[in-house]
Amino acid sequence: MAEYLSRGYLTTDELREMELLPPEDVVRRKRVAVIECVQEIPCNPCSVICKVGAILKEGLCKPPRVDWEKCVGCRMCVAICPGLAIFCIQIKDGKGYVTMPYEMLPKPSKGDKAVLLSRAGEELGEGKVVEVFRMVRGDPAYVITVEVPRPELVYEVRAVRIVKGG
Amino acid sequence: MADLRIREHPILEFERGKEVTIYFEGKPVKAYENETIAAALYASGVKVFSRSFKYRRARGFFCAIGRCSACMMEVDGVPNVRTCMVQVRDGMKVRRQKGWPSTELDLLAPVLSRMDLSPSAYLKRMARPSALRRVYLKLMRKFTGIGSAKAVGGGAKRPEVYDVEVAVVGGGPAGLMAAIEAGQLCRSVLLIDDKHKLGGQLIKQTHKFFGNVSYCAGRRGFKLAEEMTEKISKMSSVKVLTSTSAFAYYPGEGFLAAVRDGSRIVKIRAKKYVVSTGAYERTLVFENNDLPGVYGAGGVQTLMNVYGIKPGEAGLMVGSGNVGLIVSYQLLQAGVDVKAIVEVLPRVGGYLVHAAKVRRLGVPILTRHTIVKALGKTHVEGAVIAKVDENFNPIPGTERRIDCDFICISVGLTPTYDLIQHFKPKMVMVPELGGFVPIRDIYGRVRRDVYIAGDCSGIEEAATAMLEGAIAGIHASLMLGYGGEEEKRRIEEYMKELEEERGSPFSERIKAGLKKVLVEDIEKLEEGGELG
Repeated sequence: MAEYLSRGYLTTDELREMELLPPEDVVRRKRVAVIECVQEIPCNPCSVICKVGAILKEGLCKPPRVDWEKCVGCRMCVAICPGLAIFCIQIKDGKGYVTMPYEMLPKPSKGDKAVLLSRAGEELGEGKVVEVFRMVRGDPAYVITVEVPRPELVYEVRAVRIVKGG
Repeated sequence: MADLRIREHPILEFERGKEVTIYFEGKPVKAYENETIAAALYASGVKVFSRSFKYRRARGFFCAIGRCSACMMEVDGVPNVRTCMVQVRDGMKVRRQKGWPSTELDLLAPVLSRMDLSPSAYLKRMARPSALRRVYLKLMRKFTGIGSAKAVGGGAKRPEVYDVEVAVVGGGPAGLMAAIEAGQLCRSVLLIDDKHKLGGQLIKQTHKFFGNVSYCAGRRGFKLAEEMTEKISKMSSVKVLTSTSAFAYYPGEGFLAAVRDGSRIVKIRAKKYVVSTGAYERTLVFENNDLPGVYGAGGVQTLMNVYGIKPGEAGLMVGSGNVGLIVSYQLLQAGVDVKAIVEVLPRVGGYLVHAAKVRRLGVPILTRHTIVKALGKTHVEGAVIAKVDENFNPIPGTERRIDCDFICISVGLTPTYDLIQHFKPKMVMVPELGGFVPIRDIYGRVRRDVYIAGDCSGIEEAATAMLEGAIAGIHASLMLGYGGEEEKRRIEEYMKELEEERGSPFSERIKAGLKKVLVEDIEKLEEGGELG
């Protein structure tokens, strides 16, 4: 049995080994999607919504793979994924940016302080909300982009706790 | 007074109706139209709803969907009303039926708890001499607290009678699809549901569904329920009866009997029946598992997502299947703390992506752990959990206390087989499908004129339930002489989709279970007298 099944999440090392994390040179060049979904689940919204055909899926149940050359970082897959397992990451001007789904309170707004959380729920420092969208018509959930202080954190930060008035 | 109502939610907006006042044991309690009595009472801090028959142990609600009967009270003089099924009305008088001097504080409970009463103690001791049986009966009724029938009456009303082509029992995902499909082809379809609103358990599903986009993936369950309900309301061929519970089918007379709004008998004669009555939640054996505050995860989901009421401030989740993981996430969304998820197996039961969602928000998942007991006198004040060995037995010395004010049990569902049995199908025990289920053909026919669809035919997903319902609805219409090649093609399509949905390793168990119940020719079995 794979260890992540008892842990409940994948580590950065495991994801890297499965070649699910985009190499740093790509991330420094443009924003791309990271899909942290490895089980066979009957599901396909990500590959259907991708306009550039960058998300490959062999049949309904096989886990998706991202073609980072094709990916344009439009973030639609982040908004549509029912498993909230898709993120977009980018490194620009020495700072990291992580785009993620956000379905919690308080409602996010640009400029909010964000406590950065790892896949294990550990605090990784403090960031800032720089973008807030509602991408799917009629859906109340948000997609937010968070600026993280150190570039390498784009591979680690997967959730935030928003602090109002920060 | 405490108010557990959720005022702000990231996904939901609660449509609370007009504010009304109900009288609970003489005291006014604020409530909102659209709320059930149980929901309104819970929101105002009432946790003990009744007492158990024998030991008079405190009981709270468990399922919140009319299955467990732990929430029965006297409402406007009518005893044994399931308060989770009835909506509040201004001026309504509600009182609990059990306990002395009160349900909250029952002085007999501590005395009884020290007595060793065998399972049939009352029956054995109070059966003789027969001359005294009437007196005993009265005493027993009072003692067990099953209410006083004196206020009920008013004469019998004539039953409502419906003669239809297709009758669908249960308006969840399967039943809704069956009614929509049959309604497009047939002239008269009747859909009945025991809740006051259609949608079944979809109405509390705030998460986005997995599955195929061309179908329902990426959508939230409660939105799907709204859309399907809307669609049905526009179909002149479909008549809907809500707050209507089917309780029997009489094969000799050939009609289905139901009770509407708790008082009116409804007789339904149909050429074809689709039974889609869903499932109920299982519980788990541990010390104090009946303590108010030990709830079904689905019950909590109903309370929280349908009525906007928090179950408490901090909870413990038992079971890490998809329901356990999803409800944990939804608790966080409602602003409720989840102390931990315990899982007896060495691995997470549900999808890894669901587990990852709660893990990154700081909720620990403790595999190889179980709950040992619930702590508290009249309601949960904590829990004791422990590690388990390879035989799933708690390891002494590993116990630890979790501070929480409620416990969610999420250990799976069992198909409701009560009604389908009246149609005399051949029932078999299939653990892979969750319990007793009838044998059926690929269209879901358990007899020539009776179909089963959704969770009551085997525990699966909403998406597969919808497909099964659609297939049953179209096939029933075809058998009645409606539709043609196009409809046959659509059945094929739905079947292909069903096969694809079941293509993941998570469906292996389901597929193994289905193998045990699928038969080629149900009509031949029926003619040969091989069914029940």
